[in-house]
Amino acid sequence: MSNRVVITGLGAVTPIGIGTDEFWQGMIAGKNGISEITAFDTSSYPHRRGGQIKNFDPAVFLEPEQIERIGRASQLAIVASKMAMGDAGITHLSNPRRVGVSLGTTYGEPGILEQEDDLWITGGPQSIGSCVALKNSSYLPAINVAVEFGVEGMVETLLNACAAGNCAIGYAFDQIKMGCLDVVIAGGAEGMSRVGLAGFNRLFAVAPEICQPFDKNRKGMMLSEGAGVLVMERLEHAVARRASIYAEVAGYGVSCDAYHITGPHPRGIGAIRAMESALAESKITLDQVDYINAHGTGTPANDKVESLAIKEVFKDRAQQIPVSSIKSMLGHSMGAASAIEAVASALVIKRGVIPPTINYQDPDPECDLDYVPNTSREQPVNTVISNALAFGGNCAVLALRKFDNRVN
Amino acid sequence: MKPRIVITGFGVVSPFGVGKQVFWSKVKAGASGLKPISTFDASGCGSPLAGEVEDFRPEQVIKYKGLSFLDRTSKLVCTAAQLAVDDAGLELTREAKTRTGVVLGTTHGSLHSFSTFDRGLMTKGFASISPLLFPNTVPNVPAGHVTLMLGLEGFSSTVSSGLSNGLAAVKLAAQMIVNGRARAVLAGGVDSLTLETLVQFYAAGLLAKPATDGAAACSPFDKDRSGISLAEGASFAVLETYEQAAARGATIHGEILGCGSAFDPKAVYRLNPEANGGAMSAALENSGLSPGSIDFVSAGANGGVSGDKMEALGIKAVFKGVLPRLKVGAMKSMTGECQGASGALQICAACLGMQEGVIPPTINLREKDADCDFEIATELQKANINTVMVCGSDNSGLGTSLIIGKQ
Repeated sequence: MSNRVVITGLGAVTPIGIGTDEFWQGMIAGKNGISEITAFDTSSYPHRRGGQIKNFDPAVFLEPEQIERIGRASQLAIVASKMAMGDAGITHLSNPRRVGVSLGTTYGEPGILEQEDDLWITGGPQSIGSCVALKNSSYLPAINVAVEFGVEGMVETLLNACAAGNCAIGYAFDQIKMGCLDVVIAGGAEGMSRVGLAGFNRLFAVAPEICQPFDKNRKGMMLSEGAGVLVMERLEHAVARRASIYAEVAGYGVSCDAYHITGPHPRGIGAIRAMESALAESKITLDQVDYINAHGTGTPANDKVESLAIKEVFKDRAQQIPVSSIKSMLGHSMGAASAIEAVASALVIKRGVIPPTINYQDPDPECDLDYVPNTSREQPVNTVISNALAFGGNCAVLALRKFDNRVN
Repeated sequence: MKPRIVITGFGVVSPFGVGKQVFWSKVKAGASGLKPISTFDASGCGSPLAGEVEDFRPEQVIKYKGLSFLDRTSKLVCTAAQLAVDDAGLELTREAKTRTGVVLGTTHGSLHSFSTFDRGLMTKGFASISPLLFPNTVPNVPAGHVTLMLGLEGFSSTVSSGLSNGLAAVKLAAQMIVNGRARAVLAGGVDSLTLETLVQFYAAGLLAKPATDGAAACSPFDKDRSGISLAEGASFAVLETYEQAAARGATIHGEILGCGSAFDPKAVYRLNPEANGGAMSAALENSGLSPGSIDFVSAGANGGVSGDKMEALGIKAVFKGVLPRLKVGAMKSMTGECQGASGALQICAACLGMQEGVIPPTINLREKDADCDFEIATELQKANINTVMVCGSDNSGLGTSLIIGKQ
C-alpha cells in the first residue's frame, strides 16, 4: 500500500527573512542576505562574508531556560518547526506515536563544539563540563524539536552534508508513503560554523563579496545558516482534518557520484540519475516540469556540472525551463539549504512567482539556461524539481507538484 | 507486494580485532574486549577500560588511494566495508554499482577531526590548517570514502541517533530497498575511540566507574552497574532483496522481518522517562509478529545506569505475558559500547547464533537488577532460535528495534 504525501505547513528562518512571509517577500524582491560575519573572529580568513542571520532573537520565540540548554541549530530548528506546525494548524498531537521528526544537518551544533574547543585550549580536555557536552550532539536539533511537540514516533537526523535537507524530507516521504507515520516534521537546520568557514576558505570555495550562481565571473559559495521545516502529512490524514495543502511530494531521487570527496563528477552522473529517479517516481514528464530550484552554490564546478546535468536530463526542453538559485540571496546553509529550498518550492507552487537568481551579470557559455536573472517572474507553477548536490557526492532531488485530487 | 530483505554478509572490525570470525569466536567464548587505552592518555577521564581495536592495519585489507589522509573513523569504516563486500560475495559490476548504496550510523564519527582541525585553527591560525584534512571534519565523509573506494553510485547516507544509530542505519537501508531506491545496501556504523569522544561521555557522567573490588567495568543489567564502557569499531550488514540474493546464489544469513523506531520526549531532559519499549512495539507492528514469536532479544544494554533500566522496563512491558520463555542477552558486556558499530555487530551475532543454535553469554553479570524480569544467559547456551529482536537505545529517548528471522 502506498500513501500520498502532502505538505501542509511551512516554516523558515533565513538570512533574508524570519518566517515564511518575510522569507517569501525577501525572495521575490531579490533581497541580498549576505553580510560580514560577526558570529566569531574572522580576521585571519581571506573571505569573511556569509549569510549570518543577524536579527534572529531566540527570546522572541523560546523560554530563557530553553535557550540556555540548547545550541543555535536547535534554536533555529525549533523556531522553524513552531512556525510550520502553527501554519499546518496542528496544536496537539492526538496520536504522538504516528508523528515523527526527520531533520538534516551537516555539523549539528558546531557552535557548541567550537565552545568546547576553546575550553580545551585554555583548560585542557577535563575543562569540558556536562553543560556543553550535553548540547553538542548532531542529533540534538531533531531531538529538541521532538521534545517541543511531544513526538513519540521516529526521530532521525540525516548528516548528508549539503543534501541533508532533501534526504531528511525523502526519508519522511518514505515513512509516510509506507504507512509508518501520519505526520513528519521534516527539514534541516544549520548554525554558522568557524570550522566550516575556515575549511571552505582553505578549499578556495568561498566568494569574496557576493554569491553569483551561474554567472561567468562567479567566485564561489557563501556560507550561511538557517532552518527550513515542512509539515509532511499522509493525504487522508490532512483531508480528514481539513488542512490546507501547499503541494504534494510526488517523488524523490537519490544517487552518489562515487567520484570525488569534495567536488562533483565532471559529467554530473549522480545529479542526472537523481533527477531522473525523482521524475520517474513522480511520473512527472519532462514536458510538465515548470521550474527547477537549483543547487546553484556559485562555485565554478557546481554550476557548470549542474547546468550540464539539467541539459542531459531535459534535452531540448532545458532552455525553456526557468532554473534559479536562491543561494544567490541566502548563501549556502549546508544541511538546511535544501530544506529551505523545499519550503521555497512549495511556496512557488502555491503563489505562482518564481524567485530570481540575483547578482547575475555576465552569461557563461557553459551555463546557458534561463536562470531567471535578477528579477522574480510571475508564472503559474505546477511542478518543481529541487536539486541538492553535496559534498561526498551525495545527490538528492525532490519532485513537488501542485496537489490535485484527480491526478494519480 | 513488499520485497523481502535478506542479509548476505558482514564486515566486522571490533575490539576483538579485524574480521567476523574472531569477533564471533570471542563472543561465544564470553571474552572481554576491554583493556586500558593505548592510543592516547585517558588519565583525565579516570583511565577507564575501553574496547580499542588494537594493532589496526587497514592497509592489510584495503587498497585505497589517499588512505593516509583519512582519519581513524574513515579507515575503520572502509576496512569493514571491504570485508562486508567480500563476505557477501557481492560482485560489483558497473550496473550493480548504480543500484548499491551505503548507510552509516555514527555517534561522534568526525568529532576528533573536527576538534583537532578547530583547535589548530585557533592556536596556529588559518594559514596552518590543511585543506586535505578539512573533509574529515564533515560527518558524511566516512560514508563518502566507502562509495569512492567501492564505486558505489546508488546512494550514501549517514544517520545520527545517538547510541541507536547503527540500527537506525539498517532500518533506513531496509526501507530504501523496500521503496525501490536500491537493490543492495551496506548498512552499519562506525565510531572511533578518541580522547574527544571519551571526554563527551566522561563529562556527561555516563562512563562506568573504575572497579574498586575487582568487579567488571561493563556489567549490563547488573544491579551494581555503574555506567558505559566505551569502545570503537566499524561494522556492516549487507542487505539485499531476496530475489537478488537467491538469483546470485548468495548465502543468506537472516531476513529482516520488521523494524521500528520511537522516541520518548520525556527522557532527554530526565523528565520521568517511561520504559523505552516504543521501538520494540513498532518493530513488532511492522513485522506483523506477536511478542510470543520472538525467541531472543539482543538488548542494547551497555551498563548505563538509567539506560539499562529503561530498556529492561521496555522489555517487561512489551513482552508481558510471554516473559517466562523469553531469553535476553547483552552483547555489549563483552565488546563495550561500540556506538555506531554496535547495531550491525548485534545483527551479526544474532544471525550467526541462529545458524549455530546458540545464545552468546552476557558476562560480568553477578546479580541481576530487580527490573530484569527475564532470563539472561551468563554462559553460552544451546537454543533453537528462529526470531531475534535486536534493540538499540539512547539516553536521549531514541530507540530502534529490528526483528531478524532465521534462514
